Amino acid sequence: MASPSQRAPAQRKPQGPPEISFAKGINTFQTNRLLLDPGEAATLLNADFDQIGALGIVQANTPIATGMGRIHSIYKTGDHLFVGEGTNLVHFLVTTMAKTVVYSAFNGDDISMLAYENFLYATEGENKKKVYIPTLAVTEWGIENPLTAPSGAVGDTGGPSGTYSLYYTYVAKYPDGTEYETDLSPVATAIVDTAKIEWSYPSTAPDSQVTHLRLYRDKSGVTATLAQARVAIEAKQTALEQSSGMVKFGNLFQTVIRSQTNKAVSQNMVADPDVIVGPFFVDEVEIGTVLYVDNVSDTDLVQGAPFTRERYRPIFGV
Amino acid sequence: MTLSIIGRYNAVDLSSYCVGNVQDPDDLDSMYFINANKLYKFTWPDTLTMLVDLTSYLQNNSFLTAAIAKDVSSIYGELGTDLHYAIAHSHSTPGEGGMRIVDVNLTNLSITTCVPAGYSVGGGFHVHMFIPDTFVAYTELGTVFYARSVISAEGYQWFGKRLGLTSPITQALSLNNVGSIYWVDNAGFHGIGYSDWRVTGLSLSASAAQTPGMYDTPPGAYDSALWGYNYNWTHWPKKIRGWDDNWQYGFGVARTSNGSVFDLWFYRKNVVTLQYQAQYVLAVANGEGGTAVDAFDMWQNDDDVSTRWIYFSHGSANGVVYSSSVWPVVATNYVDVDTGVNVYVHALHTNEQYCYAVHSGGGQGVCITKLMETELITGEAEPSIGGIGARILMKDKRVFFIGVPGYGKYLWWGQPLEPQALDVGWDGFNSTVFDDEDNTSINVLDDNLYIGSQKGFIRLRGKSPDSWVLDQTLATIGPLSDKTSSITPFGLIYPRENGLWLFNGFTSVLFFEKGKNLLNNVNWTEYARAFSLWDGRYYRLYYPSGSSVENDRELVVDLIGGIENARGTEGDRAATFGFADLTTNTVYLGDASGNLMTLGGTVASRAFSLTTKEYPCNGLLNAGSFSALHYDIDLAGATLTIIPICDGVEKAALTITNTTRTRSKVSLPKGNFYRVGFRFEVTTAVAVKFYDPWYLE
Repeated sequence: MASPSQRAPAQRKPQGPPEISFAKGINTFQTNRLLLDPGEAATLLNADFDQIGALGIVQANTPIATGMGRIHSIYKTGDHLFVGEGTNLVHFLVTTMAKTVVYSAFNGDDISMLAYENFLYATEGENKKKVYIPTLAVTEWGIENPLTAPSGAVGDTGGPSGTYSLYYTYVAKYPDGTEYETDLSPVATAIVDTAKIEWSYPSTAPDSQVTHLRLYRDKSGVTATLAQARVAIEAKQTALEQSSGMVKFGNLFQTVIRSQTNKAVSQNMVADPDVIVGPFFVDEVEIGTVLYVDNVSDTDLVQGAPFTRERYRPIFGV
Repeated sequence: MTLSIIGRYNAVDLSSYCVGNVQDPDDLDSMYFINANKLYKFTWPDTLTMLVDLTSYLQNNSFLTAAIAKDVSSIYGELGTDLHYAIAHSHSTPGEGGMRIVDVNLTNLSITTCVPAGYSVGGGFHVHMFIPDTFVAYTELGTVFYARSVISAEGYQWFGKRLGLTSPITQALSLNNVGSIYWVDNAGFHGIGYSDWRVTGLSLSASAAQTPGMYDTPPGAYDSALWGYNYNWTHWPKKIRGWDDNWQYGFGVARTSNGSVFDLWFYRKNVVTLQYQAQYVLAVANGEGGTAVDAFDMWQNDDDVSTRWIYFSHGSANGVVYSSSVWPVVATNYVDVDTGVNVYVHALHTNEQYCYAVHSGGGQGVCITKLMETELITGEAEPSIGGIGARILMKDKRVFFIGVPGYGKYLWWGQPLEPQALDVGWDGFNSTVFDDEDNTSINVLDDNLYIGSQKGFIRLRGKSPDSWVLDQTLATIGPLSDKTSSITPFGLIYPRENGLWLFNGFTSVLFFEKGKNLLNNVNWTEYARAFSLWDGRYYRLYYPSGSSVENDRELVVDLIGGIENARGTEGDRAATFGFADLTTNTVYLGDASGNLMTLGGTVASRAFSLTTKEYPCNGLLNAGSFSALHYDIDLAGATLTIIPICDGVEKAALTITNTTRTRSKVSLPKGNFYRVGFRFEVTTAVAVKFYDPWYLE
């Protein structure tokens, strides 16, 4: 280690004329201007930092659309610019600045927006609107679950036999392939003896986005839903694991078993007759129809997909 | 609106005609109804008491066809079309104690409806009920309005009061717990506070009819253009109930130009912005009809009553407009979805969202109805926006939602991949961390969700509700508003009173002190209008200053050199909102005049000024001087004003000008000073460039 006497003499910073720099703008809350760092400004108004090494004057705004009310919200996704002004939600196609008022009944507060796929979701806390961007069609965020049960009358001969639980759901289909489906409607019961079931259901929808109804039916005598079945299956799994000592293999085993079982449930291949799930898809009808004649046999019915929407509630507002 | 029947009390056979029920205003757990000539009291949850058998009191074996009103001690009913009874079941007036039927002997009256009351009007008087009617003996008075009152020394008296009504009252509206009553006739809507009634002898004083302060002028903006009616506003009660910070609620009546049809409106008014919102048609013409309306909580910020709700249903044939006990029951029939018979719903039980109701027939007994859970949640979610406003974002293809007024501690989230399906709100999750402060921001950093309040941040980890974990972060200073919180590559930047703060996911630090000096001038009462942007290089904050209600100032912080080298500038650019499109490097701004703009383009015609630091002359120990300032500037034809500031005193201004970049010097004032600084000013809208550095000689 070098002794103090061996150290090189300290370099003294050459004294030159004081520099006045504009590089640091304003930053610290230092009221003594003498103690500001070199380059710091005490005050700076309407400056522009864009060019490194030089300080300019702020640039102006360039109007691209005028004549609206007070603008309180702006959001852009792709070429679509959405502007909240007053109670209106206005759309501009950025490439042409073509203007369309897509909705005019917000409450006038700031609108928070986000885009997801081809949809814009917009809310000020009171109204919650969804805009299908390709067509600018405005609907509610969600679809209200069906509140009324369908009915099933005995039709012509040549159908299934048994006591069936009938349900339907609302479905929204969009041109881009997006589909939304509600939870099941309240249940209705149909009792038939080798006769067709004549379904009736609402011919109108709670919201314009609803385009179809899906009809679901239990197999005769079976009312367990998928969620109930899964609970039952998992209970059986636990019992099986505990009785067989398989739990000693730890989480990996359980993960594999549960994965396989869930797959089986979802494919409706559960062998245990106690946990056959439903209801099963019967058919899909367009909104506006009032009658569907159902002669799907139990065999064909169980080949259909079970209803899987265990919970689908557009609670917030719709 | 959906009601579900959660229980029926079948101890009494209501197969015979059952009249409408009356809820005791002083005992919200109780209601009264008359069935088969017997007066019953039902007390929540399951106590039914037959108070008195009325049979012996009734004439011709008839029975009351309507229970009209309930005051503190009596129920009033109507028999047939022209005989009216007051049934005092526990009256305490001297000489009238005990259960009894009082025939008020108004056989010439034809009561259309009545407005119940039950409040002291001072001076020992107690008004029990008000009955509007046309009494043949008082034809010269036109339509009169009666108050039945108890004078302790005189027993019952009927007070007639001419209120200038031009036609019979068509709809009795409300008894307000605060002490006001409301009614409608074809001339309009009337309201009066009980404290303003004056009892003088056997009549109410003239001052009662035009109580000051009960009427206000309706908004002219809604005359015709917006609602399609040429309204002739008659009365506009100024206040009914439920003041919170900025909101006022009330009823109003609008008539069409021909005067033949009038609508009863319920309105909500922001007393700050004077905007009328949530104006609902409650009733049309004679109280029937109406339009679909939403439900909302009008008492959400009332310290005294925090859980009351008003619910409106649509006014179709089975429409319901009903509410908590202090609100009008304009129409009370609701068809029970289970039985298909009418349920006469009276009022919500204010604490548990129960309604008392009786079926119109069919032996259903007393029904306790409860608003369905989903409806309650919908109701909770419905209040309109205030404060920071609703804010939504998406993470893991799941939408998150904060900012519902009255539910400031809630976090809402949607189903994955289905942002339209929001789940149940998560209340109180932040109470231990935020010390009961409301959420103020919601942002995603480093794949976690951060919910901010003024007390800091909570981190939400995990991909789904099953795996979510909440962590408290080290940050103790959080944002005031989501709108002024911007995600940057360095973290979340937000202003507080002492400057700009940076939250990095673990803790927050003050990194831009100068903000304190600037933000001291913020108009905090309008801070909800402030917003910020991150445009890829600059954090831009727009806020209202001084007494401005709109954002009239900007603070632009350049972060090209990182947080450590942040540099800022003030500005007077006004913008009501903005959006930074990072894909095209475009900043969109809007203003209060309805102009949509992009930031940038020509040089702004705004005053530029810069005050430098001060430079010591001769080491501060001895006075000295500088002789010249060497500059390097392109003024593009503009004039630069240089104001030397010597020992804090401004000296005579110097000016220079040029048309191209010029390096030169300008002489400085003579004198011995300890320190020198400068202020530079340019007012011309040209592309001036100050090139670093300049020198002092």
